[in-house]
Amino acid sequence: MSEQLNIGMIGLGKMGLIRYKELLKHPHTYVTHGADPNEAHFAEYHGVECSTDPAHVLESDVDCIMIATPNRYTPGMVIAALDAGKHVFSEKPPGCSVDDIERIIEAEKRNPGLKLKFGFNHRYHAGIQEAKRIIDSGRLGRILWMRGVYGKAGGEGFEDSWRSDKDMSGSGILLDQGIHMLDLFRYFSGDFTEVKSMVSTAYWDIPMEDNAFALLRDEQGTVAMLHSSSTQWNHKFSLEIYCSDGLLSVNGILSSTRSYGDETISVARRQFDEGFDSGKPQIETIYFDTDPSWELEVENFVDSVLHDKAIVSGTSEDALKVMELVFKIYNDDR
Amino acid sequence: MKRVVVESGLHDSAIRPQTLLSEFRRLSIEDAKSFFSDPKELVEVACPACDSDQCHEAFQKEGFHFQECEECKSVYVSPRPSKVALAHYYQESHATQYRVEHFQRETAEARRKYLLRALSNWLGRIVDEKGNAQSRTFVDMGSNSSVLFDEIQRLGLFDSSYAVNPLPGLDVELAKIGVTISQGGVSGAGAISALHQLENQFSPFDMVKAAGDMLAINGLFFFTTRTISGFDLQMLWDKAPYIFVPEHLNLLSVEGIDRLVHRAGLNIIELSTPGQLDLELTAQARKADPSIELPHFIEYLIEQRDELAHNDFQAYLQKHRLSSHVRVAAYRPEGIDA
Repeated sequence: MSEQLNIGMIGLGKMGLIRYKELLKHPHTYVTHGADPNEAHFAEYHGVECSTDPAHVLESDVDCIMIATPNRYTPGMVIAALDAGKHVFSEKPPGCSVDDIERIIEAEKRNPGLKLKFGFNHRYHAGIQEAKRIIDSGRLGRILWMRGVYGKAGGEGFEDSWRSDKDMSGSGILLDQGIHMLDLFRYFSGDFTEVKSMVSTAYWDIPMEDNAFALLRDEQGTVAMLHSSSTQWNHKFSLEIYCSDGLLSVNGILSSTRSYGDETISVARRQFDEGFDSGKPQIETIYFDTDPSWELEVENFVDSVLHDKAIVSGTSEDALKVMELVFKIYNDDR
Repeated sequence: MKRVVVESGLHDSAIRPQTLLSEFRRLSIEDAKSFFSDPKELVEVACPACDSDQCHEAFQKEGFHFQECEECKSVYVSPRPSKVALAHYYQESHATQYRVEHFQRETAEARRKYLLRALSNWLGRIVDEKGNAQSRTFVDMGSNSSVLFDEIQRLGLFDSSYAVNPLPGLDVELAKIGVTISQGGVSGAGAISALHQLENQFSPFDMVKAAGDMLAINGLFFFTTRTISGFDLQMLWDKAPYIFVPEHLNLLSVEGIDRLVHRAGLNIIELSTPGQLDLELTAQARKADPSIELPHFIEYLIEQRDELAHNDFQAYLQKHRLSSHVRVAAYRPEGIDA
């Protein structure tokens, strides 16, 4: 393969535009074709041949297709792109159900030479990367438990957005945003076998959940606790990981509006035996000034395609496992 | 680039007990008078951080002239004792002997608890993130005790340890824990540290460059120093009682440090100011010297608010790189001669 990848994009809205801006900066990618039902988005994509018909992208000679569509359309577009012989990068979630990702995996198996990656970009945030290095180094010992809170406010027009249309999105905040936290739990600790949950529609007039609370346990006994919310009036991201010899806590996540605050990681060791008061260890908090997640995720995908490397993060297996968790959480409260 | 906030309940008295500090300061000033008495032997220098020759006098202290760089706002002594004179001083002075035999030894455990264990853990994290896994040699430049080596060895990241140009009198202590002393240099190092060395060097550039030359590709250089960008030094300026020659020839600004490291061919991973003592040092200096005038707000904060408010204020200084204790992690990039 040449060192230049021609890219097509299906879905040119908010997420599509974020990806497009990263692709513009990448030295080996060139966006040639785009498709979106809303022609108003075309103006942002300078020099890109845009159409309202996805076939315009699927039938073009692009090497890869980036898919950023509402959940309902994602599986169909991913499968069509794979069957058209294109490498695929798709936003999460991979559809509205476990069945959707299973159909995608069948298409992936039909096209074994193609790369497929899902956009779980939180794995690439600086705070999460730092946390991963610390956990993997073993210096804090083994993970005892994790506690994750991820919430947003919904906001004006929330009830009328496609995310609140069950036909388009499949379900609520857990599938939309909480899925990132579940993916991170898996990233740090592997698979969970037990799930207990409570899911509620506490405030918004929408036909899906606006809050989900879940307890997960893996075979080693590690417990993870999740709260996913669209009634978090002050946006919040918090992931605490407590280990046998210390703790770390990632707070805030850098976003374009900075509404989740500074992105930081606090690290401390359990210091019973080092002369510090119990419960008040020496804590070091690192602030990160930039969010490299979009760049790193695109770079990882492009590198896999150009150099025929296996996708190792955001695989269809990751997508399947996290979708299974999402639906176990829904099903436990039914 | 990363910024860091640290909370450990550290107080100045734990690591710099007043009696030890006063005696060390007295000896240093006395020794400086005898070692550097001839003004003809002092050397004019450009800004040690950014190399600009545009400066103006910031203040005088004990007969030495502190200049402020117009470009990067670093403060430095010029004219200053020559490299040879400084080397002689650090081998022969009473102050050096006192530092090794009393100051470092009597504060060793407090330093381990509050500073060096945390510092070695920080070093370990950066090695995990960015280090050269093949290069397992650790070097400390200008060592003044063996405690750092103890803590670094605990990490299990390095196979061999070197002390380059340590202070005299440490041979037995260092040999006991398997540290090799080198008076020249080492090559292919995986990590090098230089704790509070930059401020007393004739040429900080030469020191950072020397560290770069000793590093393997992607090897890491860690250093700490005092910065003039810090709150206490900005407040106290020439009245800071703990600033004296030759310990503090270079009070580089945060911006100056950034330029210095890049000039020496290294890339910065972290430049942060995790100091915990700025407000406490300011309050102590004010108490000891009534002639010091602080802004009303700072007086009010010190006198009318409790430790919680003081800690929050200190955390703000750290977060925005405004504490006077700075720490830097940098690496030697591929393809560039450091």
